Amino acid sequence: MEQLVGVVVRDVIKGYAAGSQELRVLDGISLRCQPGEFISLLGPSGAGKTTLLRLMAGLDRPDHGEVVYIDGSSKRVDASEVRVGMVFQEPRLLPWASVAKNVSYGLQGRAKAMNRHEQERAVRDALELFGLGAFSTYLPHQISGGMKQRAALARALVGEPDLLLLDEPLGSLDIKNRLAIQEVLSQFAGTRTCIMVTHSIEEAVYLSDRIYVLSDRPALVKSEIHVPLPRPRDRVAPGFSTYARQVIRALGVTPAG
Amino acid sequence: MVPLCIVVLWQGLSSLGVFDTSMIPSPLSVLAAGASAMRSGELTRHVGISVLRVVRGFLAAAIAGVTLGLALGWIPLLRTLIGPLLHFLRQIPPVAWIPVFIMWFGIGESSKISVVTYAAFFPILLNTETAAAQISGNYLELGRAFQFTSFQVLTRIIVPGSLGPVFTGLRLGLSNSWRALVAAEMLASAGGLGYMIVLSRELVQPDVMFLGIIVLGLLGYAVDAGALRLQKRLAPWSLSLRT
Ligand SMILES: Nc1ncnc2c1ncn2[C@@H]1O[C@H](COP(=O)(O)OP(=O)(O)OP(=O)(O)O)[C@@H](O)[C@H]1O
Ligand SMILES: [Mg+2]
Repeated sequence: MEQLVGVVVRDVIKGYAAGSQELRVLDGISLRCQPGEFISLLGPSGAGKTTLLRLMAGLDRPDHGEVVYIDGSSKRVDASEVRVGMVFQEPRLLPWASVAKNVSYGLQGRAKAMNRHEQERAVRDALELFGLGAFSTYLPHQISGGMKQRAALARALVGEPDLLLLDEPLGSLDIKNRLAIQEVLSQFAGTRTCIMVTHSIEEAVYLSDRIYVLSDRPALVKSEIHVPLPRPRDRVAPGFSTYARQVIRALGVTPAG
Repeated sequence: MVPLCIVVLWQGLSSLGVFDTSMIPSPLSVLAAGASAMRSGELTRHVGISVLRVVRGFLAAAIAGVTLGLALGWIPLLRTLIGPLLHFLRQIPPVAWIPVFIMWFGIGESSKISVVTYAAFFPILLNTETAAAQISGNYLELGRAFQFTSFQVLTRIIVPGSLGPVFTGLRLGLSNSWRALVAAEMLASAGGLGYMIVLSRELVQPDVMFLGIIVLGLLGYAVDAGALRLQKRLAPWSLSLRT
């Protein structure tokens, strides 16, 4: 029985030392992801999205404010009980381990309840899901950038995480793979909590229950867009473009000329 | 190809009498010396003695250097504590220790093996340490994100991540071993290739002298090539471009 976990980010301030000065990357940002919700974060480059995701993964601490995990009844869940599946902005595969080994490193706590055979099976299933079945014995430098990114996704998902954090996971995929992986991710919507950074409006609308549009650095929530479209979604349905237009408007893009 | 040309040229010049054969013997006479030393078993004996010393000294250095290097790279406090001492010791040429080791361990095998260990130890230690310390923070962060245990961090990230530079250190250590050993054998030994070379000078056998030098080069070359092959097998990623 897996739990659904949400994340609450409250008044978070985070800066990095830049010489003698401080580079304020987050300046009092608050947002929330309900258990089981699929959230997208959209915002300009350098806004602080990766920083925010690392805080939500517990890889860094805010200078001020808090990041807490919650369950379905909004009660706090201790970080040690939350299994996070993370896809970093770059694939970050260990160069010395085969694709299958890399993916198996995502099993985390799930590995304890499995024997070797079951673990291998789980890894194989994850590889198949992302079209990497034939490449399990390859080393990372022997596969393409898009394949690495898919391997990173397989690694994040194989452990059946309570919380999935994706930092531009489909950035270097070709269109066909991009659509295919979006399909895989859309199946997780509702069954798994997911927070995804993306630069694609279409992808955000296709997958998300809610989209946060962030400002320039320091990142603040500029706008929050609910996408109550039924699933599975249809990219050419009239409702779809309505939400895409809302996002464009929120981004503050004005037509050139 | 080039080495072959040099040998041919060398032989040619020798045959023409350009070289004084008491200074530079011809390749053929070196070959003949090699054949006769093989037949008498002298060459095999000296090579055997030297190789055994290198193997024993180098293995000790490899075990100590890799273990301590990993510990130093992983535990910054340890680095602060004993780093300066190690860098002080590293600066001392191994040969300078030969009299000391003889005083401590006597003229037998131990003193020679100790010099070999000393010479091989530092490149292994330093390469391992730097590698372990410089493992990309990104990989360690990955380990934290996926809740690796400390043991898993060691076996999945630190050890394999250090393997490439460790191999470099081992190869450097090997060639240092040879140098230090030959010096030790020249100073105080009754066997081994270094001794063979010194003895041949006393016996005025320049061909044996050159034989010793060439065998040293060949052995070193073969051992390094073997180590490189091993690296290619065990750590192929360390020889290809990193991603
Ligand atoms: N470890 C760090 N040390 C110092 N500065 C950092 C660090 N990480 C990020 N920054 C700075 O913080 C700012 C925000 O970085 P962040 O990676 O969070 O942006 P981002 O929104 O993910 O951008 P992108 O869309 O390009 O990935 C940048 O100006 C970056 O230079
Ligand atoms: Mg980023």
